[in-house]
Amino acid sequence: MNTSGPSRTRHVAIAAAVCFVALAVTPMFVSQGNLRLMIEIFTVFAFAQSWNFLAGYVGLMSFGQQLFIGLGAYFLFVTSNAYGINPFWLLPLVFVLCGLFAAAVAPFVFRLRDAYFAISIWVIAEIVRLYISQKDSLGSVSGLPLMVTRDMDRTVVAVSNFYVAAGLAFLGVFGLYWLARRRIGLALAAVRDNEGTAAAVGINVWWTRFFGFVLAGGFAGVAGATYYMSVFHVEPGGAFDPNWMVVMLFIVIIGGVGTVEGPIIGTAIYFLLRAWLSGTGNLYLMLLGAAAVVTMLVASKGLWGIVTKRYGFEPFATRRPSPNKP
Amino acid sequence: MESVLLAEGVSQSFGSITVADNLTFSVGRSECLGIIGPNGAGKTSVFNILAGIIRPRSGRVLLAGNDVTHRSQYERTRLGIGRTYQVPQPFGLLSAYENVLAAATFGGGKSGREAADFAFETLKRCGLAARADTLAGSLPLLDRKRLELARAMALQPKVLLLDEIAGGLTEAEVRHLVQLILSIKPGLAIVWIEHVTHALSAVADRILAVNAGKAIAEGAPAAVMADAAVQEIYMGAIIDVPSEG
Repeated sequence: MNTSGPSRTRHVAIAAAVCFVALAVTPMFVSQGNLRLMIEIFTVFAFAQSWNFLAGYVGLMSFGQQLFIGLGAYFLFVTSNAYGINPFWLLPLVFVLCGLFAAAVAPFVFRLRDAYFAISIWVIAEIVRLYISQKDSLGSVSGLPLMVTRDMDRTVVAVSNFYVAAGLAFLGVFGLYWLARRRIGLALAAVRDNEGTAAAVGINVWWTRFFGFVLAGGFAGVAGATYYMSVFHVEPGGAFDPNWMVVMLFIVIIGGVGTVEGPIIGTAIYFLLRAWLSGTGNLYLMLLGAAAVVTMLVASKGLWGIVTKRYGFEPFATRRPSPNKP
Repeated sequence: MESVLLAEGVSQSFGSITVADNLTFSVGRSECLGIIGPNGAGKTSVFNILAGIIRPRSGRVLLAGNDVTHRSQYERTRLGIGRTYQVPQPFGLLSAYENVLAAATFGGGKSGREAADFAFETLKRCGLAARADTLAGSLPLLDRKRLELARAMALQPKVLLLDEIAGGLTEAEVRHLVQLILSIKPGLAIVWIEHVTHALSAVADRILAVNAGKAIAEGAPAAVMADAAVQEIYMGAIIDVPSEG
């Protein structure tokens, strides 16, 4: 399928409108239990997409993206409990705080390369987890409940939560597509592919990376806050759990890193496998790992890579077609 | 002639290897300075000093009269220093067109339709129109070399640094390349490192021969090629000096 630029953009805009309407009316037709499952799916997809953005679009391989999930949750819980503020209004603040945290650590972790960089964020996540675990005012190991939503109507909370999660998933697809096609998207792709050449075409490599790192951190933070808001409780062991990183890796690698579509498939597969294998205990993790290994061996670009290669189907292709008129 | 690029007493060494030993040279508008020297003479390192990848231990680099010695690479690119890499360094997951578009956008300061058309025109001049939408990472070597030149040209630089752009090309391709470089030369300052000396002699107004970071001869191509010290460094090598140089 060789759709030209403007017409492809139109298709995506139509898809965005359809998704928007579908998500908007979903709570009218779905039970609260299913709504909760959808919140989980959408937020986990948002986690995965934040890592996909970092690894596949910015070119930063981090093994510590759970840092921002936990930070976002804690920023939200602590601020909401302390001042009695409706947590939904705090989400923009969570984005800013997580972004600021990322901005503060960037000058240090950016001095490290590759594996050292990847591990360094994980180390920071562990430091924050240990700090919170020892701090009674932050609930220590047993964590914090979310007080304000207790007095609110459960349905209103669930539906609001759904809309936030759906909004994040929507941004994870259409926002990423939009960003990748902008000028900054070209700069990010250039830095990802070859930082030396990026500087040789006039791109400020450091700031471009910084932008990507901060954006991915802020986005993961809001998604983490949304996830833990939906379960009304956060504790450091769960929020900063490296298993979040495993889930993100699984979803992105199975689906296809550096594509908008890949993590959609990856998330679907992750939740399907989880549903089918839920009775298998620890075996479940091994089966998940086996599925990831097999996918990597068979399809290095993920399952979405197979679809693209075989059918040339790329609805969210971010490649800029040349003005070549044969 | 007023120099567009001036390297003034530039020195740098890594351990016992001297890549630049008090080097001074300049290149003016519509002029091409060729740099020759044996492998390991420090030619590429001199480019890295000019482009801002390595800082010289001493000396200055001036672009259009402004000291850019302490400017970073991306700033120098925006100020007008464009370069190609000896070993092609494309953005592998972007198309050839997007590679050049990035240069036209960030270095050339163009946007929208103007950037798109200019990037494509530049590709076409370099013989890559048919490959425009191919991933740069999957291009064959010759096309990657062409892409290096297209990307540097799309920056619309004041100074173009060409690093062994003719290496590995067939005779016909070299002739085509020489024509292309001659066509972009007016208004541009070019510094060209090359082992394919007959190509260099066809374009260069002056040639600088370096060895172990030191300038050993400088002047008209024919004179430098005939220089005893240059001949000695290229000992055994047959240097083709075209009379029409």
